[in-house]
Amino acid sequence: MKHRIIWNEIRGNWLLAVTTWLFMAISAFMFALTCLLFVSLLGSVDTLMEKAQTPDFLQIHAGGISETKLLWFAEENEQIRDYQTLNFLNLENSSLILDGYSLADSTQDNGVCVQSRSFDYLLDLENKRIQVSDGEIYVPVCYRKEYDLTVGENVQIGENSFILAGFLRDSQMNSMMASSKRFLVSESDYERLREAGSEEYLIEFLLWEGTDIKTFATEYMDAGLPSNGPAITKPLIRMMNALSDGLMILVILLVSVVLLLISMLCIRFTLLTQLEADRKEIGMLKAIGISKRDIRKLYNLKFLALSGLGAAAGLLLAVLTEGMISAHMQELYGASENGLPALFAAFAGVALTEGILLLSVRKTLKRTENISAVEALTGQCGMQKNKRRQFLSPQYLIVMLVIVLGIFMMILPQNLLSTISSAQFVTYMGIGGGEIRLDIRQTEDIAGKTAQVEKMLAGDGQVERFVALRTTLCQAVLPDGSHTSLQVEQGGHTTFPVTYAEGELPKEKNEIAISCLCADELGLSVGDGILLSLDENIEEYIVCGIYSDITNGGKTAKAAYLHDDGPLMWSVFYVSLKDSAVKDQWLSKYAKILSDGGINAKIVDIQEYVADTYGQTIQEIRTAVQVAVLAAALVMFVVVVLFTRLLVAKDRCDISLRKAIGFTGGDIKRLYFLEYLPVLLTGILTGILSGNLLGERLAGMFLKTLGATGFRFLIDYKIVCGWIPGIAVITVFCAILLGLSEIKNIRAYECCMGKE
Amino acid sequence: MSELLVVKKLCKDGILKDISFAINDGEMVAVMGPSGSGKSTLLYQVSGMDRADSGEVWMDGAEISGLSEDHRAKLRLGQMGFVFQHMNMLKNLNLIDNIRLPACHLQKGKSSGQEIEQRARMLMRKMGIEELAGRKITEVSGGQLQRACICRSMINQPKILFADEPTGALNRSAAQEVMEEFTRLNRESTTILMVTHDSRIAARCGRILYLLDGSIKGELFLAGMPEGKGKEERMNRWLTQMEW
Repeated sequence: MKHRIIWNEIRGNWLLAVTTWLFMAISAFMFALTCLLFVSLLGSVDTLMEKAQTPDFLQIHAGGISETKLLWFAEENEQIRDYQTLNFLNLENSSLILDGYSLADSTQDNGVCVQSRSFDYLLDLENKRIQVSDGEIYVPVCYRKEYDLTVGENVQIGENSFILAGFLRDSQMNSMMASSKRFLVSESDYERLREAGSEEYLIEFLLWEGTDIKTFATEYMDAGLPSNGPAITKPLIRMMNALSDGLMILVILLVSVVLLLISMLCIRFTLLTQLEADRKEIGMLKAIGISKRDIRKLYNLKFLALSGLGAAAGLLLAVLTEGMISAHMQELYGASENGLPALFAAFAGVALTEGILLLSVRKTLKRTENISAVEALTGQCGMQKNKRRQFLSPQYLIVMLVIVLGIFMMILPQNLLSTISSAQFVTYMGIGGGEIRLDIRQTEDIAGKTAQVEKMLAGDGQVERFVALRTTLCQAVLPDGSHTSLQVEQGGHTTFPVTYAEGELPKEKNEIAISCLCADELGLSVGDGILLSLDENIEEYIVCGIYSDITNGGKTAKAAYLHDDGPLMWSVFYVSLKDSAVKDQWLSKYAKILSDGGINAKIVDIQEYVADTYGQTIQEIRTAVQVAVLAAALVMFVVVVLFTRLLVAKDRCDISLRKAIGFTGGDIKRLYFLEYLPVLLTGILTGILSGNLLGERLAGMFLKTLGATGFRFLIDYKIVCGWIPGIAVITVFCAILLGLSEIKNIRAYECCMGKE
Repeated sequence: MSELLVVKKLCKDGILKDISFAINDGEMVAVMGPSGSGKSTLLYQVSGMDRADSGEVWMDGAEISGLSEDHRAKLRLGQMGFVFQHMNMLKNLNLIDNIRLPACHLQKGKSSGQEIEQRARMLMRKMGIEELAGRKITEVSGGQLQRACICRSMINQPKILFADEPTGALNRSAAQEVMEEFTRLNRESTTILMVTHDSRIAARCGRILYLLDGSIKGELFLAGMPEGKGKEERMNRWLTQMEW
């Protein structure tokens, strides 16, 4: 009998049942998708890193190396499981042509290398170690889509032609956020190309499990081994790999949470609507002796059935669409071996979602206890009868909440998009602002060349302002007496400052700002002292600020002045021009001047750099924004229609009475619109505020786990304060109109017949 | 005859004031009175649908007024039947399923669905609506629906049947048919307490309690009197005395 009642109930109220099922399915789908993508991403990255045997510690070095010294260190140090030195041949980007497309505009450091001997392998698209033949070349997989490449096409490096034999996955440099890209050629081809570029070394170590990488890095520096370049650790590589697709998952997660909240509210709505309609029947069931627990059980069973169906549909849809959504991720990192754990995580996510929804249903069903058999049978009106509806009544609060959440759901991904698309976003990543960046690295006499460029820029009338930042390797002595190496960037950090998570930039002598990773590793905070040793002189510096940085291994520092100038590791210039329109010409002019002057420098347009580095991420978030806006508008529409229908059903007697005494349908509708107005305005305002303030904190919390700290939204006010509220107003207006359409079916005589 | 229902000094919200009476097993009692006199309120307190402010209700020698809501619900399900003015039935179930509902809920696996079905069909046959078993509640007339409600009230073979204006929403001939059924049930020894404002309906009962301003103003015994004009005249005279 129970099943028959539930089945008939679903058939009789199919619209409410379908709405409830839909919300349950959407919530389940979103959470299942988030879990699937998250576990798959981690799984793919881990699988790739495991198969490629990514090194635990990697030192990039430009200049000569002593293999004997390295071998001695590797043999003496018990923490080392394996060690190798790889050659990486840095090429001029303009000398690389992929099937007719020149890489001259690429902001990446492109180069060739040969397959590793014992670890850090370059893998094919089946995650198998590549064996490359002479005359063949393997291209980083991230270029496949970007340059529309296929196997068999021609790749030109200077005068040398290669056949594109396939695409490679590089566990270290796969992400567009990694600044270098390795192309794979055979050993004899490498020898042939050796003169075409400048060579640098990747000194790589595999460590035994449980080894503290920080201690190992210190030991490496103490041993005086080659270190003219950034040192990178395995956790940093994993973070860079996870960051680009992680941002898309963040948007999906945030949208999922908001959708779950909205689903809870909507299901509550539909349930309240139903309870209102069933009030008499519930009263009758109570009167004939069916206990309140058994009545609740009937409803619970119905929602359990809908929830089960919703969960199954959501899970199925998530499994079906996951492949499509994670296509880019899978191409970059390969298939995850986390299939079962991902499915389990998705199942757990769905169970949690449905559990939360069913708990909220259970709570709402407690209301049936307040329905008195006597009141229902004697026709005393509904649960909230005779309570004058007010602006802050629970009903309107729910609609307002849905509008707030809807606006929040639209604004948060939009703000994330405008922030990441902005040229300023790089300042969260340890890169100063400005229009142009010029790097002098991996060359002889960096100090001399830096001074030369500085003089050139100072005399250039087109340059508005510029700054030269020189990086030196120092030894830092920590309060506990231990020491570690630190790359200190010296110069005027006020000209193009990065964004500081804490404190401020270094201006005075003896002030130093450190990166978040550095602060975490060294246990330092603003105001702490740090001793820097350079050329055997030790000076104390005070930490004045902490900034986020994922460049050069993430462990960096900035100072306005250093007491001693040591040998430079590299130098960077940030430049802004008086007239941005001539930027391209200026870039070509300088590329030529520097090249003619024998200065091996890399010069990039920062906007292009952002587009190259975050292009894919920005594209994914843009899609997420469109989906979020559409989903939020749809949810707002459905909720407001439902709510308005509920209001009209409740007010049927009043509306009939108004019609009886001469109100027109239009007059009555106008009253409802007036009631909605403050709800809509307050909802939109609160939504904008919470989307900007709370959303910023939420996104900041997530980005912090990925390494970017001190996050602030860069808001596009035209969209946030114009377009989004506009969409919300139009959506709600149309929904109210549709919800109120029932008014025309209410007859003036109904009130006289005692109908409710 | 033993006392089935005993009401002692019942008070509720100022609507009922110190009401006391008893109903014997097998009796058919009507409660009459003008609108607002507290007739329906009395029925709800006596049947345990609502809890009185003070006073006691005893059924079959046990006090029921002090029981918890769940216990009172169980008692209503197993030992009481209800017929209301507006034939409240579940709109998503057909006629026979509505009738079977209390039995299915009471039995919960103790008796087979087939047994309940047979009992429901037997009751419907007696009421002359068996052929409507599969109809929706919107597809039958008011009189037929009220007879289905009586079937539902009888499905668990209750000790007492409460009826609140059972003919209030029916036309004259349908009301007549429904009253025939009540009389037949009473003849088959079902105890009935009925609230009505229709004197012709009340005339079919063995006793009438007249309620005015929440108190019992008078009581008239009609049991044993032959049906006909004499009985109705006596009742009308009495009602005039009561200022009806």
